[in-house]
Amino acid sequence: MRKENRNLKQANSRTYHLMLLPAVILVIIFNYGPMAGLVMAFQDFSPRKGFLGSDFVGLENFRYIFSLPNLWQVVGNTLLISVFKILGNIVFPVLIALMLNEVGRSGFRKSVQTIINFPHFLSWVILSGLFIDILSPSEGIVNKALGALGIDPVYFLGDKAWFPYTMIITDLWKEVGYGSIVYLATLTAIDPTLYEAAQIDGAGRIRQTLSVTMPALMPTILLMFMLSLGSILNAGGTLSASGSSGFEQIYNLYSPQVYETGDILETLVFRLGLENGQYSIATAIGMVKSIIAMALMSFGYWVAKKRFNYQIL
Amino acid sequence: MKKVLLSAILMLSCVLVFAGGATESEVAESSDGMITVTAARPIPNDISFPEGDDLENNVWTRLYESELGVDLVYEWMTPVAQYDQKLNISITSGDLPDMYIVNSAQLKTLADDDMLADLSGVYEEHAAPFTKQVMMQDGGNAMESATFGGKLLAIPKLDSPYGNTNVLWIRTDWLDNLGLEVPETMEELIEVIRAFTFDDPDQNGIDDTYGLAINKDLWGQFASLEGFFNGFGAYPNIWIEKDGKLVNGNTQPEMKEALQAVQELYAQGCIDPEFGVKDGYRVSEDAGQGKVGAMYGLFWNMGWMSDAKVANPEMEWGAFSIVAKDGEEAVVQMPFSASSYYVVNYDAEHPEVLIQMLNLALEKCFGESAQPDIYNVDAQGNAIFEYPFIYSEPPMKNLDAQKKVTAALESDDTSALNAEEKGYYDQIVAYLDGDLLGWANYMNYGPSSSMAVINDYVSEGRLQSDQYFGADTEGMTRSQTILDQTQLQDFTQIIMGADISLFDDYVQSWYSLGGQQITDEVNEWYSER
Amino acid sequence: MHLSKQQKIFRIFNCVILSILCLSCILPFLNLLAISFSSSPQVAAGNVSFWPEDFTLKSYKFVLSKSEFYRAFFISVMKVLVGVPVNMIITLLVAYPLSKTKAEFRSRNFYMWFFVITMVFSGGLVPWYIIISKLHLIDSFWALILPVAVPVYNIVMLTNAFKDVPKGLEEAALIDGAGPLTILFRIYAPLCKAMLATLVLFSIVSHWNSWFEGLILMNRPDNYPLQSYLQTVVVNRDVTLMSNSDLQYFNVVSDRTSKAAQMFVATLPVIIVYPFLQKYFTTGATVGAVKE
Repeated sequence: MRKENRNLKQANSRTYHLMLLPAVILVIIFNYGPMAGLVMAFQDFSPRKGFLGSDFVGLENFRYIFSLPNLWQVVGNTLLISVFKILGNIVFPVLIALMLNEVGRSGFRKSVQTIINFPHFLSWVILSGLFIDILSPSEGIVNKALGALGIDPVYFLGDKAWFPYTMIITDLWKEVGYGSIVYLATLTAIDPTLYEAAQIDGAGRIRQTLSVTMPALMPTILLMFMLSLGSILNAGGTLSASGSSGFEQIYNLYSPQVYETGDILETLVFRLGLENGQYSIATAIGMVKSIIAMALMSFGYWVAKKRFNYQIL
Repeated sequence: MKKVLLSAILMLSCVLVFAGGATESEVAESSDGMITVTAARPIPNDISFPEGDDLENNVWTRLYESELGVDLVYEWMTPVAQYDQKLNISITSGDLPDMYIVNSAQLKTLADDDMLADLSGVYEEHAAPFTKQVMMQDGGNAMESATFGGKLLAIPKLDSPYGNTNVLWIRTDWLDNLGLEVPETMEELIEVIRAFTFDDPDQNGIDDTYGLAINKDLWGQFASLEGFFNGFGAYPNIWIEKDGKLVNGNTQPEMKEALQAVQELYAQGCIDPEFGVKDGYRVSEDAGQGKVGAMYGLFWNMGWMSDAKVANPEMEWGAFSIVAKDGEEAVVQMPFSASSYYVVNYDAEHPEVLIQMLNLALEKCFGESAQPDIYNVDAQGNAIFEYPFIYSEPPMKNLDAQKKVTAALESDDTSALNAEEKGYYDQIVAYLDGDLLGWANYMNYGPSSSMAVINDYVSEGRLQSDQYFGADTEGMTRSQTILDQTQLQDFTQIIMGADISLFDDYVQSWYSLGGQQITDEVNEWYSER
Repeated sequence: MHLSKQQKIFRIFNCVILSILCLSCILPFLNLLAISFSSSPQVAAGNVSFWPEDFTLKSYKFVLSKSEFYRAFFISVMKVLVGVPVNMIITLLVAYPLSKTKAEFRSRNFYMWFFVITMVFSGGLVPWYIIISKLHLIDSFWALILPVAVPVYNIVMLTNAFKDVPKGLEEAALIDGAGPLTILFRIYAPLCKAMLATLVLFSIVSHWNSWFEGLILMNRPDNYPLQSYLQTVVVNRDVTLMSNSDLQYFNVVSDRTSKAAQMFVATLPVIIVYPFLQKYFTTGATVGAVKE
């Protein structure tokens, strides 16, 4: 019986390997293959000579990065936008989940959810088109509304003081509804007897929220925070299927007049690489970024596992 | 079930691995001995074709086939805005067609990497006498900029340098509405701009106009600022001589004054607050819709406005000389005449085809046997000259055209006109008879046209040409883009209200970001000449 | 339930806030829609807010008269029809072995890391492009499918959902002699329907929404999928859609109305699919994301 079991296990293992094979091939070709290109970061890359023939320059490219005058400014922009997005993407979804939970299971709650989840599913191309139109200082409806209130038009996308906050707010607008799903699910799972016990102890509504609801939500909140750490250098804020929402958003909405406050690492890499043709430099920045992101993500997962016993892998 | 599924998985893997190979379609050698040449190009904005034609099948490609036996295949093409990105990625991945178009920075990189075919031999052998003559019309500077270590590595796209000088465009019907005179000094111009902004020049009772149009890049073809800056003795983006040395115009104190003037106009609301996202073409739409009354730009700018003129015949523009501060002479800047280059990849089999296509382009548009109505601009107004892969213009042709057309209009004697000039003449006559489609050419080549203004610049010697016209230097390849970016960023911010001391910071960072190195290199070149 | 006055006020306040939130999501789209159905002079005069003025379908006629637009639309539809099944098959095949414990499948952790690392580490754009070009995929439809065929994020979600399937069911099937594939498709997949529906939605959306690949990998605008095409015309504020040949539309259609119409048409498929799948993902998205 035991031996048979082992044979069965081996047979199954073989099938498992086969099931994984197509994906493994694709990942090797399209994800690991390009990583060989990271060697560019240590080269003065020349297309004619290729990866094998280009001259190695050691850490010269990395030295150059740190001499870039706007590097720290860009890192600062990235962190500012990221931190606000990460915090906002926790605070607001939690609030919305609490409010939706109060409404109870009703048609109203369902409609609200349907509506506020929707923007999450639109591309930044479409949303950029939308925001460019409605935020325009001369024609947009937002500034028309502000004008009706006697406020001077604000150039949300062209004023460097406003730009990062416009990015944060539009990202929150897109994501908070969707982000609330997780917290709402946690809330619905809370044992109702806990509330009853609190009521018997004479706790009011607010007291109940503080003593029962929040402690129940806390693990999920901390968890989501840990999970978003890996995206802090992407100005992303949320962990999503489409990796770098920060780049897609900012690339489609920025313009040179807001580079000072709106340029993030990924847009800088993109411009250096594709618009200026400095691939070695762009690759070097991308590599440093990947390593830091990897470290932060590993730390986040490690904490998630140790502290919350949550294992993603 | 299991077996079937497993083999399906294996099949899937194989398909994935070999999918690429299967979809590849090898370019086959044509049976009738035609040469296949691959190329890449940008797709010009707002291009239009006669029914049934497109960029890959038009009068020019048919000409290449019949005259040269060449089948020109575009490996890829993108809208203009995406061209540099796609080209840069193609260059780096080494995935390049036989022929493509590059800017001067890309040319330098490619030359350094030894990626380009040496054209010296094929040019000597295949270039027609007329081609050689045209290519030397600018004194040989453009060809020199494409020569590296004695090897000709590219064919410069010649633009007329004169055609790239600024004129001042003003809505003359608005001047009349407000009872204003054509401005002759900078002070008067600023008054006009303010009146165009605040005094309802279109008399529709709504405050919906801006005085001065500028585009997001600040410089360039349409609604640019060079002419305005020149009025303050500032010469952005070109090299000028000062005390026997070359200095970059961007770093000179005159720039500060000019920037401050634009800043003031912006603060007063005379400039569209959204200029930062509108390129020249976009601005031309605003101008066409009557939102703006004055701008600087190139001589052909009204070509982009002809639809608007048809829609709104009352709209009148006039071309005028740029103005300077009271008591000073307005000297207009003239850029170097080549900004893009045609190159042949090092492994291309038929580099001579590029030269042969150039011969055809020059001959069919400007030579003895020219048929401009077929090959330059057709009767429907399609810009046929945008279709060929390679195209160049003789530098002096537009200046001559204006003089000869104007003379013919006076004398009614068209015998001295060549085919292209005759075309302009006919359209201008048609316009004077009421056909609005001829308006743009009337504005370009008529008696008081933009070209007449430029002819005055030339005859009065009011031109400041770029003093550096060598190939891009080491420092330029490395730093030019970052310098341009900083410039655009800082200048835009100054215009939008940043403290003017930012200009001093800009100059300082200009030198430290590679400007110093470039200045040294440029002066070394200058002293060697 | 009996509610105190305070609670009633709280409820009302609550509903008001949530309603405002909903409005903030709806109004921008309503504005866009109204612009797309209005004539350009009304739009330019600033008379259009949430209701079309001078109602016209000309902007839509104009957009649909552009062969570029519906060619791109068609490419995007094909991309979804081919790309989503590919994504889903791969996700199912990968998630099942990965949901095994280390005892059941020894290489499981290795594979997990193998996939997850690609979420944060990449070789950069240029080497990626070189590989795709060496495979002769540039300008081919498969370039839009194969490089994104393995959706790691979806795989992780499905793996977690599979981990929740009671082991007893599988053991019973094993005793009956069922192989892994039978178990996957007969037991696991039916039990995780909500999650699979969610992942189908994610996959549709990510295929429909991606624009960058199309822009870089296609060799001519004729082959752009819809979002790439839109990126060049809607976001690039430089470009204008109108040209000489469109004179007939000039009176009623402007750049702004036609862009609004394009954006709306491009959103339509998401609007249509979304309600059908949304009831699943409120449960589905949760199962995968948080598990304690």
